[in-house]
Amino acid sequence: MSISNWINSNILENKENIRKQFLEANFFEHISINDFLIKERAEKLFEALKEEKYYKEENDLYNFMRTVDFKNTKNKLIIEFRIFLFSEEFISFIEDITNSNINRKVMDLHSLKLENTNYLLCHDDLVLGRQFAFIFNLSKNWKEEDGGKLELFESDNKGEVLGKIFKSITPNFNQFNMFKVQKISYHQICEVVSNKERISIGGWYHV
Amino acid sequence: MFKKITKIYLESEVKQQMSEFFDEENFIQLNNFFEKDIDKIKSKLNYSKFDLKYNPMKYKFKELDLKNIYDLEIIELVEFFKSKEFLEYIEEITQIDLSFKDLNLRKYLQSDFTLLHDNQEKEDIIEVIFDLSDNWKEEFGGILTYLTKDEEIFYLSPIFNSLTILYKPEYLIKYLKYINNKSKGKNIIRFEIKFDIED
Repeated sequence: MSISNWINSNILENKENIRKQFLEANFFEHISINDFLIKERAEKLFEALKEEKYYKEENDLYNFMRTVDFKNTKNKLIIEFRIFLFSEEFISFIEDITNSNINRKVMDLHSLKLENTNYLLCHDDLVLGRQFAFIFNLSKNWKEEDGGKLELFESDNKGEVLGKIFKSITPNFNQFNMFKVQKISYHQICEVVSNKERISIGGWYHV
Repeated sequence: MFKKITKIYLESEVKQQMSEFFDEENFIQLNNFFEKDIDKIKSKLNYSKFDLKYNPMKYKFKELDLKNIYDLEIIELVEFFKSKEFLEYIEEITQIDLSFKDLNLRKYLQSDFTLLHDNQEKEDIIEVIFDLSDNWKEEFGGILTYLTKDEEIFYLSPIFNSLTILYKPEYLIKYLKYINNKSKGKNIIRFEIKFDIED
């Protein structure tokens, strides 16, 4: 199946511009694109996630709900989505906009759910092998006052994090976020402060 | 200030019991530690200007600059915790020779936290925490958790006017759980005092 069955056509047409935005981003390579997937696909994914089981995870850094890795899911739609993310065509697209080579054999994929009072404090995502982190946000009608923003931190010339946020991204429905995992890819998900659920599918492409 | 300590905690027999308890448990918490004047200090601290201390990978809280306090009652309390008589009091309970290391006066509000990455001691120390927190519930977060590499072993909830004395071995690490929006403007205010253990 071609990726034009999954992604809005204007995204594919805009590839050069997206590539430029990603590679020339401040502090560390990142991009946030609204209306990324074809709307019906995003809607169905959101519905499909209702059948997945989430497990509460909590430590000093975070408090949220997460599924296990989707490599073993029996959920047909999620299997299809995973195949799409793993497809040669989509990986080539990501390689083009990131100017990189991506491992065809390894990918992590799971869903995250944050409820009222949940958060994920500042971290860099650095784990051996991870190259790009990506997040598809799927919560509907998310408002700024619901919290749950993805925030990116500035760092100094030694690569140490500063207490200063240079980008704050409200998690809109059908928004795609991606950044290059590196020592300075400092980011957090702010506390959710309403009774809405912040739901996303995310994962990592590897080197 | 010494005279304002709740009388029972100064009785020889009780001190003896406290010492035995500490010897067994490696910690002790003395509730209603001061008998009077403590509400007034709390309300003064609520209106004092604390400076933001923020390293996103380590901690976020507010700290009072102790060189910049002009309120006599707050100064008196700070000086008391640094005093020889307080040190001797802690020595008597812990039965350990100590020397004063460090005192911080901190305030924790919604969105504040400390992480395990925070600088941790390289040696065993005695930690003393005097608490002036608002009426607190566990669901707000803000619980101080002490753990080893394998397990969580001790939780400290904010309790107004309590003095906690804790033997903290070097291998014990700690974090203060992120304070969430359920706390609705309530705060944790603490004097965090450290004593070195003398050989």
